[in-house]
Order: sequence, then structure tokens, then C-alpha cells
Amino acid sequence: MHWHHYQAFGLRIRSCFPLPELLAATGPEFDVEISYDSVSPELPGAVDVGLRYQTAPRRLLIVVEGIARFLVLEGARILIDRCKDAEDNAVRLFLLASVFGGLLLQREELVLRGSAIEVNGQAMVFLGVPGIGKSTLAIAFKKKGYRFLTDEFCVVRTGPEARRMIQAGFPQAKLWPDSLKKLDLLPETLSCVRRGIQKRALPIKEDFTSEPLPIGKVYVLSSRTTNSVSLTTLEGSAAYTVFVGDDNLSPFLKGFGLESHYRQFAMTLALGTPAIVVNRPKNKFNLTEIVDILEADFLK
Amino acid sequence: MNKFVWLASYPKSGNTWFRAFLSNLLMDPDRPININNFETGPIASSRARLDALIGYNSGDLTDDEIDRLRPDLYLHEAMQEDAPAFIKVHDAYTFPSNGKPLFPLEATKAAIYFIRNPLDVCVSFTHHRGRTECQKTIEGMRNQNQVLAGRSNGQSAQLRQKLLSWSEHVLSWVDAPGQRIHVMRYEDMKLDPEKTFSAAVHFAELPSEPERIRKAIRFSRFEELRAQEEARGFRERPHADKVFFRKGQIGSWRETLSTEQAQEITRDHGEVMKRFGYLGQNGDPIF
Repeated sequence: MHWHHYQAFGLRIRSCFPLPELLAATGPEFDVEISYDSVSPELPGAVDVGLRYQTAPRRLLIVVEGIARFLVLEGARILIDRCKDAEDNAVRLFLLASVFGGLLLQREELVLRGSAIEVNGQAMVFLGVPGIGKSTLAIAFKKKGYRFLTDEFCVVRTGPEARRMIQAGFPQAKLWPDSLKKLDLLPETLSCVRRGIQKRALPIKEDFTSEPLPIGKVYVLSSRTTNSVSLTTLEGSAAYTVFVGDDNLSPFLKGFGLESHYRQFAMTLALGTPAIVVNRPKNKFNLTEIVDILEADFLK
Repeated sequence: MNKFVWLASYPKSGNTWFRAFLSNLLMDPDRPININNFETGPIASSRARLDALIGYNSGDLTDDEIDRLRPDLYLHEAMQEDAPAFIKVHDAYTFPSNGKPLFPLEATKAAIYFIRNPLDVCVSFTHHRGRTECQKTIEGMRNQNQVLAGRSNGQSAQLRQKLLSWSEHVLSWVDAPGQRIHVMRYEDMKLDPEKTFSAAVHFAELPSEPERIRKAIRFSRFEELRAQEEARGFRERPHADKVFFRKGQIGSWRETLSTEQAQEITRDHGEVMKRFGYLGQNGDPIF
């Protein structure tokens, strides 16, 4: 079999099919192997059964009708049983999102759903519910010259001197046409993430940093019935809920038996990480205003 | 398994008002319930509801793929519920997956359908969408392909909801095969609240002490809801709306719609309007 070698989130990956979204790597060593195989529609011994996922300690099954069944084992192997008519980019879309996120959790990583950029050697992290503008904000800062670190997931690992580090993801962001227009980018020039979905894949050709960076601040994007943008610093347990709220506590953790481990890790992260809520009007996403306010806050 | 009572309606037909009543009835508080803490949880079309259970981002699925998942979502949720739960719905009652209804009978205890004079719905829905001119709403209420949250250029917090035309929406629910349905007219809720709300309470097998019902009606009066919205906002207010609880009157269409526009609506929906007592024998609007 011909293997393709890549790196992402500080892991070496070998795959039996090309993953053009990822940075290429050299050398035969690997931490994660991705291959095609037959995957049962049921996970034997499943502890938690969701609507389209099943989990057990160190095992995860995700079923995407018409695309593939994905089996993630031991944080090290992903088996893909691909539907006959599934298109390559559709398989990769789910593989590099929730499937890979599940693998990272199996490896007992702290995985936050969000994007991150580099500011003066530190990672500034943007969290929030899907569609709130995390990727848009990261790309807006990239356009201002900041380096892009990750989209979709922020993997937190302990680095030298027990510092919390954000791992680099891979050089791609996914954006809806409405966001691209705010960024003065033309949707027509980019590929759809899959047929029938207008969200586009934006390759980051430059200004991507592949090195892990210590966490600077975490910004939680939030929309509400307000007329202006404001920042609210979170203290104590409010900061903790940023990391273990519904938006960041994966449903997979229960079946993996890792919920308490994850909460403990999140608690230590919350203790040493400034967390700030970015309140913006529900009906208005003034990107320039938010970028200006955050840029000023980066320096505080 | 049969746990859900669907609170279904075309938008701006009294659904939120009833949920305010229901929350006050269930909680039986000493002061009116905060309108931002209703007891009925998120709307059936909440994207977060689905994302929490499928294990991947529903934004990577097409609207039709999501529609095919939704019956399983409600079955799955119904299995986790210990007691009956009330869920707001704006979707029409459709059959997206191999003849299976969007809201499966196995997950359903009953449905309450809220209907309002489409002439008033038109005016209220126009304001709700941040518009001043009603013509587009009239066309939307006629459109058999009308949807909510159906934008393809961004991700909404709600899943796409097929509304169909106003008439089709009504008929899809009130004639839904196998569903146990109670219909509530907005106008009856307004003109004879005690009788109308009591009937719904008995239908849904809720606490039915007359004084408790009267108090819940009092605590969910339009003036109370509006005052609360003015004081602390309402999180369900859509982005373009200035206020959610705007007028809440019967017949306010007479101040806004032209004669031609009113005729257009009665022509589009006359049959259903007659069936539910909105048109008299001579074809004139009753309210």
C-alpha cells in the first residue's frame, strides 16, 4: 500500500489516501494511521449510543449516511468504510472534523472547539457556538498580518515549565459565503467543502504557524440583544464553564470514560488562562469593530 | 416513548403566549415567570439540539439530509424523557424520510395547534421580519415552498423549517394522520381566555384547578409580556425585530393592509379561513 504522510495537531499521520488539507511530512514514523476497511454499523460493547455515534472506552463509531462509517480506535487508528458514491471531499470533511476530534479526545487531549491565531508569540483563542464567527475572526486577523494557528479545534497540551500550549492544526479554514463577503473574499474562487453545501474551504497558503504556542487569552464569542460590542472578563467558575460548557464538552467523553479527567484538565486550564466574553449585537456582526476592540485587548 | 406535546403554529399565531401561560401554570409562581426562562426548552428546530446528539456538525449536512435525521432525533430524545415535555414547533407537518413524519407518532403524546386570522398574521409576521411593507409576506404566505432559516450562505442557529403556504401549514397539522390534535384560535385565547386555556389544559392533562389557570392567564397577559420585554429584553426576539410582543390585537390588519391586499389573502386562503371561522357566509372577514 502506498502511504501518504502528514502532520497536524503535533501528530504524525499516515493515510492510505491523500489529505491535501494537511501539511506533508517526511519519514515513515507515524502516530495515527488512516485506512479503508469494513466497519460494522454497530459498536460492540458501546457504552453511550447517540443518534449517529457510539462510544466505548478508546473506541468511537461515527455514521454519516451516504458518506462513510468511521471507526476510531485507541487514539491511533481510523478505519473508514466508505459509501460507494461518496465524494472524496465529503469523506475528508467529516474525517478532519469530528472524527479526528474524537481521536484527539481518545488520546486524552483537551480539545476546544474554536480557532486560534498568533499574537506576539502567544495563541489567542476564539471559542463560541457554531456559526458565531470564530473562523471569520481568525481570518480577519490573518488578513491583518497575524499568523494562523488552527481552525475548528484547539488542542491544548502541557509544554515546557507546565505551560499550556495550543497545537497547530492544519492550514485551512472553512467559511460560509456571508463570512467571505465580510472578509472581501470571493466565494466563487473557492471550492465548496462538499457538494450541496455552500461553505467554502479556504487554504492558508502563507502565515501559517506549525509550532505550538503558549495560550495568551481565550475569547468567547457571544451574541445577545445589545446594541454595542463589549468585553466581559470571566472569573472563577464562570471561566471554568467556558471550557466544559455544552459547546466544549464533547458527547464522546462519556463513553470514553474520560469526563472527569477532562473536567480536571479544564479546571487547571481555567485557573491560569484569562477568559473574556465578547458580547456583540444579535443582529449585527461588525467585523471591523470587533477586530479593533480585540486588537487593543491583545496588548493589555 | 410517547412523551412530546408539540406546540405547533405558523409564526406569530400565539405560540409564545401559550408557552408563557404554560410556564406559569406548571411553575405556579407568586410572580410572573421571567419570559427568558420558559419551561418548554428550545424550539424543535434548534440546531444545538441535533448537534448534541449526532456527533458531528450539522452544518456539514444539506437541509434535506438534516430533515431525514430529524425524526430519529425526536425518537431518541423521547426515549430519554421521564415525563411529557412541551416543544415549540414552526415546521409544517411533513414526511421527509420514506413516508415517516418529521414528528414521529411514537415520540408524540399530542399536539396543540395555534391558528390565527391570516390577515393579522400577515401584519405581525411582516413586523417580526423587520419589514414595513406586507406584500412580500402575502407572497410568502402563498408560497408552497416557504421556509424559515433556509439561507444557504451562512449557518443559522435554527435548522431549516418548511412552512409551506399558510393554508398548507394549517392543514398539514390539523389533518395529520394519527395525531391527537387540539386546535386553539388566537382570537378565542384573547376573547375568552378562561374557557380557551382551560380546554387546552384538560386536553394536555395539565394541573386544572380553576384558580391556578386564572392566575397563569393573568401572569401571561400581553401587557405583562410586553412590560418584561421592555425591561429586560427577550432572547427569542429575532434579529430584525424591534419588539417581539408588539400589539397582540385582533383585527389590526384593518389599519395596515389595503383592501386589495386583504382580498388577496382571503382569495389565497379562503377555504381554510372559512373552515376555522375567519370568513362569514358572504366571504367577509369576521375579525
